[in-house]
Amino acid sequence: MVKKDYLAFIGTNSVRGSQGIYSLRLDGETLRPELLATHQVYNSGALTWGGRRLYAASEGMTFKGKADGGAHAFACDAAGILTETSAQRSFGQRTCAIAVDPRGKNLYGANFYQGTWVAWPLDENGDLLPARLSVAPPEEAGPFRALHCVEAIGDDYVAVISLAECALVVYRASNGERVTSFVFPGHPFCRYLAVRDRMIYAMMQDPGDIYVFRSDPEKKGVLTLLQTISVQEQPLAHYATTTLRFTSDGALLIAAARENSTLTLFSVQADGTLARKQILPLPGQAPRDFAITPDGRAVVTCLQKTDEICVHRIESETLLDTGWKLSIPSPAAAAITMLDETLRSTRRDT
Amino acid sequence: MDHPDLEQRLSRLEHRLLTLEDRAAVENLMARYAFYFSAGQGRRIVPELWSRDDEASLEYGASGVYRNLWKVKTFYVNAEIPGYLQTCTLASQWLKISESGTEARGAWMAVCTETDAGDLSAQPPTEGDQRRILLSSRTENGQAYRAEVLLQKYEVLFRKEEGQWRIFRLHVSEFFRCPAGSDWVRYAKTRQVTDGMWLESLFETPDPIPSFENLPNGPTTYHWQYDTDALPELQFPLED
Repeated sequence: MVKKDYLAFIGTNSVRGSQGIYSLRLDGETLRPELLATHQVYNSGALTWGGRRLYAASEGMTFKGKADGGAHAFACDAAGILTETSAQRSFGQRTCAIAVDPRGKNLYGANFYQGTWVAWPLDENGDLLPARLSVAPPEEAGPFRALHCVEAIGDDYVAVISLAECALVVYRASNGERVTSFVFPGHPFCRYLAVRDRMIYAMMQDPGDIYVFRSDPEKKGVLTLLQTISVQEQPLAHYATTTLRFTSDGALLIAAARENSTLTLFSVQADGTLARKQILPLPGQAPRDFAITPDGRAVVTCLQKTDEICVHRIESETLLDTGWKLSIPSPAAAAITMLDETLRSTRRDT
Repeated sequence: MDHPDLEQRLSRLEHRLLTLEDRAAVENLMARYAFYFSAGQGRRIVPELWSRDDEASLEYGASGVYRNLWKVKTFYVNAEIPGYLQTCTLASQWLKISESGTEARGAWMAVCTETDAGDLSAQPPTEGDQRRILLSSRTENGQAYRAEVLLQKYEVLFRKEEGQWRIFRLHVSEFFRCPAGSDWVRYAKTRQVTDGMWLESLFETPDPIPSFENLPNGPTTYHWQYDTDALPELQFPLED
């Protein structure tokens, strides 16, 4: 059976001759990446595919003339051509993370500055409506009010990584009510979140530890810490981790670290805890983000410092280098969908 | 024979004289700033005119606050490219020296120009470079370049360090910028699209930096720029 091609999107910082968001086709058989198109958009530091739209966070200091962050929604055709269909401000600068809830009703955004998280309702086409909620950190969080990541916990709750509070904080999605929090001990620099069902995985940038929680937000205050595990075998002076992502079947979790340019692959145990399976050195520097194909066959990694992306395949719970690379200036964000899914969504729209 | 009234008068006069000397010194400091800035002497600005305190900070438009001297320096050492020209003319001075004579606050309007020779320079940007969108003017044969006029506001906190007045905090706001052949109303929407990439480019430097990234240390304190539906604001308290 012929394997379907993939459509990958690479967001870039606006430096070193970048052309914005790059659309790539990944050959379904060989996984070879091929540049399809570029779309001029400024500083797209986080991307996520929402089924009908590609969402891009505007990780800069201005958005549409305001000192603000924001998010864009793009329709995409089979040729990888992006068309902006909506955009909304985020009520905080440097929107550094975005996440769609499971039912596709909301896009959530986390703002590095001002420390706000925001909920944009999505219309029937997946387009962004003005924010219905902008949630600020508590006054006692102090002047450095940074958030680093946001994720939906089901449809009813939102989890954020708060640098200001050095904590994982859970909110009610409907009204922004604060439900519970967990302060990471020893003041690590916290970075990223991955959520699967009721399990929350919170990764520290330095040191590179992942905290594994079971959450039960209906029981106020319940976040049970099950495990803490490092992304490296041996302690390092610096880790500079970036992204944490599941394969779609939830069997594997992959973490990226910039300092020694590695991907760490974990298998997910029945109780949700992690077992480190592989630490893979990458063929370039500073993996700022990566994306896993929806079928869990391949990983596309943004090597920000060496201005290229690389492609690995996943076989038998192991990451293997395909040898494919593509030059892209300052790649910072990645998202992947199946090429046929993009075609379907385009047909629905037109 | 004592003359207490005379001594008091002399003391007051001495204080006023010192204040006037301080004012003159700060005025000269900002004049040097404008001349250095307009003469491609950015490398001299931080060592000669800025505070030695590493907590010094610079904020430009909606850039957020860049604190630490190495970050401030990136703003001035970023465009040693033939054909690049920035000019800055300071006017409408408001200046207040503190009673202690150790701090001063000032505000100026600034009429400025910015030129990026683009295709006309010795190092033209590549064809696919996203920032070509900033090259808003064209020669008759289609070569792209940027020649913009700006109206800005400078707000400065000065400190006297070892007898020298120095810049400790600088906040530059932009009322508008537009291509010299256009105007700020016509250009307002285009500016919104290009603002971000332009702003970020201001803090890029060819020099090595001691960190992985050169990001602001904090968010924008306040920001206003012209838009067709915006009302101007007075954002700087002018108490004498």
